[in-house]
Amino acid sequence: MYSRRAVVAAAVAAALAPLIAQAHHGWSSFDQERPLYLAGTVEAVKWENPHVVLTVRPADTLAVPADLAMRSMPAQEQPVDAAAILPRTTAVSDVSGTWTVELAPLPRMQAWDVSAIAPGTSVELVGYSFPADRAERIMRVEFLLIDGKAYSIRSMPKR
Amino acid sequence: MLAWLSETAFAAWVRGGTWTYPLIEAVHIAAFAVLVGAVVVLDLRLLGMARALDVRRLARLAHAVAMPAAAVAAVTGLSMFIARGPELWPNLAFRVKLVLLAGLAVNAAIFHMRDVMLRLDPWARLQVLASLAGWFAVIIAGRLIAYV
Repeated sequence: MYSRRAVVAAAVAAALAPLIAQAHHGWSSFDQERPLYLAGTVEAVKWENPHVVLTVRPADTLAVPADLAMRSMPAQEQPVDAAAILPRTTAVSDVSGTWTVELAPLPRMQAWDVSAIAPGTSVELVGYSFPADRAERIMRVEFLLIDGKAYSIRSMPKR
Repeated sequence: MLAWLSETAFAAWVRGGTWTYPLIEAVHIAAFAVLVGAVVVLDLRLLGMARALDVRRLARLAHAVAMPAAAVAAVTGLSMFIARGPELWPNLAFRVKLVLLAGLAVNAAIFHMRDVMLRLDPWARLQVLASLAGWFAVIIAGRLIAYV
């Protein structure tokens, strides 16, 4: 009896394995070896779960500020090495249209004390896009800078 | 239609409250856990485990537990669908989950209509196995919605 059950369980597991093995499209679908810099004006805001989404119009002249590499980012729960990421950051090359920018879920935005961003706000962003061969103007944000204040929104602020 | 639903005040409330969406998700998962737990217990009894338990009584208990849980799962699921329909509808895992749920409902209906609970024929036995595999597949498909 038990052996038959074991066979059934094994068969079910084997049938479901390909489903489990499917690709994860969270952080890992973004090219985290290629940190990107984007500055511009917020055109639209979805202040919503599962994460806040901004539509950002890139600034006309887009270059990584000289002092970015030296900026310190606020401590967060996850170990993210800003000192290693920022010097490698390059400006996004595609400024032909607006970027769709993914921030954090609402509870985390609240924990960082970021109040709802209004359209028209100037923002600076350091984050990741898809691998270079998949040219889509989508960014997952690592560091958010508004009014000179920085937020390490990958995880919760370290209290 | 989906776009219109996602623009209703209810949809905006589901997405816009700091904790609304995660709480609805949590209740959905809790309801599913209760539902699938009840189904698994009954299915295992039908397959021959714990023969000392009266099948009809166990079926009544499983039914009493599973049905309200299914209702809660449906209401919370529908709420999330109203809030995010345009994103969810094209999602392959979401579609697989819907098809599986429909299949499981038909499977259960046929099983009940054939009234074979007290003595499973090979076809009924296959249905019970399909139920077990199907409900686990629903959970996996549901979880994968966020990843495909």
